Amino acid sequence: MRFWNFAGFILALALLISCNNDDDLKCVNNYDQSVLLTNLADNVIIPDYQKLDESMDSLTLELSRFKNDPDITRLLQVRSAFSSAYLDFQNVSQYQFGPAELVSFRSAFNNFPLNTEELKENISSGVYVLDDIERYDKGFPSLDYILYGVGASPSEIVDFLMANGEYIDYAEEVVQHMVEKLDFVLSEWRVEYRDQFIENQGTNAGASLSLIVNNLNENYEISKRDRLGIPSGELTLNFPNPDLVEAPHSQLSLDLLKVSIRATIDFYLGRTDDGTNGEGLDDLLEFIGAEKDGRSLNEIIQEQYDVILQTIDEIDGPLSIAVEQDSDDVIEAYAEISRQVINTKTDMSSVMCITITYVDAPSDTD
Amino acid sequence: MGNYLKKKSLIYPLVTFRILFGGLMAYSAWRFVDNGWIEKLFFEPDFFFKYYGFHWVSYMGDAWMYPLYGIMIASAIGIAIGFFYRLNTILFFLTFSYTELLDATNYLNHHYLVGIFALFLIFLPAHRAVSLDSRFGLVKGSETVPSWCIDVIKIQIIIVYTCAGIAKLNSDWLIHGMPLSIWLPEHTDIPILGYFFSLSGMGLFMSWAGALYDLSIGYLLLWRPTRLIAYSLVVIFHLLTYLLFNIGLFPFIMITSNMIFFSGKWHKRFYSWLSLDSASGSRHFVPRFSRPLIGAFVVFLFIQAILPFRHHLYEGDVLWTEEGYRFSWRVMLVEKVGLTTFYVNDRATGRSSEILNCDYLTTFQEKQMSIQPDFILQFAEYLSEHYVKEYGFVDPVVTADAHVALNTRTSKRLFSPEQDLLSLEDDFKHKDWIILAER
Repeated sequence: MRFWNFAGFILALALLISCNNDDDLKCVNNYDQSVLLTNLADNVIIPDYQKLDESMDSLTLELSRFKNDPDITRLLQVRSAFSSAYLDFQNVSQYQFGPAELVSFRSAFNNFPLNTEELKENISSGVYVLDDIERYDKGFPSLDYILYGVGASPSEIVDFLMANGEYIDYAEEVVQHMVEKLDFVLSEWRVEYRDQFIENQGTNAGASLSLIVNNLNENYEISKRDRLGIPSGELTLNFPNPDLVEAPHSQLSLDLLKVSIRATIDFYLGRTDDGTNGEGLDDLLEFIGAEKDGRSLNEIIQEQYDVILQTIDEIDGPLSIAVEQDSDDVIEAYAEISRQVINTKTDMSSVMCITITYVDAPSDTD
Repeated sequence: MGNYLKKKSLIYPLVTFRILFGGLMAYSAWRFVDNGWIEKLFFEPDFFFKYYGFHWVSYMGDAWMYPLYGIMIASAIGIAIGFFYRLNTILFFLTFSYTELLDATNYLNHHYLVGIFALFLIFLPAHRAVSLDSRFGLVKGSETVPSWCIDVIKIQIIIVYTCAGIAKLNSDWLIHGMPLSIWLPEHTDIPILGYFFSLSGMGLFMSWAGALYDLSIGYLLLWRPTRLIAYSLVVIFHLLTYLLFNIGLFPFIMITSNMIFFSGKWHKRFYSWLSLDSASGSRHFVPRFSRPLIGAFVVFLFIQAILPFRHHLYEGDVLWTEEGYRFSWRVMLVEKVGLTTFYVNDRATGRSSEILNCDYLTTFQEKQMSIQPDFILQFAEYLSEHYVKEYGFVDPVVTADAHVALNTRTSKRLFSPEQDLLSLEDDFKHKDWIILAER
């Protein structure tokens, strides 16, 4: 009997403590995730896909116009459509979950750096599988080469493409391949996935919040490593790799990097295309009251984003030249981008009680 | 004391333990193969983390791993059916320990427990009844063995539970209900129970329940009046953990091994019913070299009882420094994530590079490395060797920017980013280069 008295006492004590627990060490469960998820789906993610859809349509159109009647003016029109589409893609690159994950969206669009040898081999043999995600022979990087890299000047390029019609055929197939993926992803979001995404609340590994935080970070780390880290030489014993930048022929690299970072910021803030700042991860962090070294974690993150944009603006493009001739600015931008990883990857997921799943255990735990 | 050593017990609890342990281990090794973990854990990595003092355990190569697991499975079956028992216990212990020692990344408390049980079985006469060895006359059947042969396992189990319970007596666990409050809401999709996991006080309630369970269960199992209810709690508790956590066969290891607390008569009824108690009425068996064996068990269990408390010899919080963390039954105690970025630098040329951990480590290795200082040192050493060999570094320096976040806190620096990691040696002394964190 004495045992049960003791057990009852302990139980009462436990309940008492649980009710009086006003310390900040907890996982919030009274935050309404549906506001956040609805804003991200309706005002950020789906509009971003729609925008890309429009620019892919015009790329398809310009490409077929050029094919029918190739000249320099038409080439410049294709290029301009290519640039807008490539920039618009940077926004959706980070939504690699749900339908996008299913069709390996990111690698269909932007496996870079391009393997030029593989690309030429594909074109000359006519045998290739664009769905092979391990191959760097497709997407925007292949168009970057075909539209900008096969000759020294626009007229040379037009001449080359007229003499080698299979290049434009390949470009059309690549674009078609991308459009198919995009059509699938967009229609999934419109039909079913939007509701699934909003209803999939909680903090478990497959929950939407976890998908958002994981993919925001994974895409950001890809930016850090591939868009700047490897080209700058920071990962390769200070030997720069100008030829490994994203879009080396069109020299869009720096713009792509900027748009990619801005896209991450918009995703984080829940900011729409017209600049309206809706419910985002920043609001969740404020709701949680997350602090780091006595300061608001959200403020730290936003300040760091500002610093990152400023340092990128310091770089004198194009990036392939800057990595050698303006390396101090490049290295500084890289350092500032790196400094943010701890805030958004480790700290943000820790206070949100989310596990980073793109580095997960293969076996049991205990 | 002398009387206790001469005390006899029916062998059947030990027999049940042997059969179920062998069976589970055979399944466990098979499951390892079947899940593709041999590829993932042994073929994929280019580099293995080692336990202190076991750096000499070298990898025999991919070709050996499947045969090794074959031997492990066969020997575990041999243990279960009691066929060439002694040989098979030794084979199982060696193959199991070898695969465990290969990569310290894969350390799991319950694997450590399996290793201990396997070691015990080598020296315990668990095959003297209900075994092919006794059936075929390879050994003489015996219905009774000295009580200590059964009690050593009970003592080991009690040590495990008690230490696991004591480890839970920290403020994060008892006051904040951490890390259960992180993990439980991840399981709200479980029917009925899931609803409770979404309640805010649940993490704390379960934390207390878990701590009380660990602290008391061993003793409740030991005392006859509470044994049956205690065993029901064992089943409920461990099945619940099986449902909630990715902890493999651990719940079943505990559910089966705890049956050893039931009396010999309780176990015997089952074997009589199956007409497997042919040893009935046979002579008492006393292991050879009983006295030194008992001495060795006493020393071993004494070490077991104090080893989990060695962290008190170190400065700082064991959950932060990880000094004295392993081999101490700290089970599911903390949610910890780290981010460690390494830099190599050749003082001779001034060339430097940031390291992408994923070029050298599997994602799982990287995750474990980021929170364990001794792994960080081992990896720094590996990077230095690699850069000397591949890139002709003359005077390498390895530094790292290491941050760790504990139980929903924001991260803190683990050590200075200026710290030259190659100047440090991993030993049993306190790692004074770790920046101690207040919890």
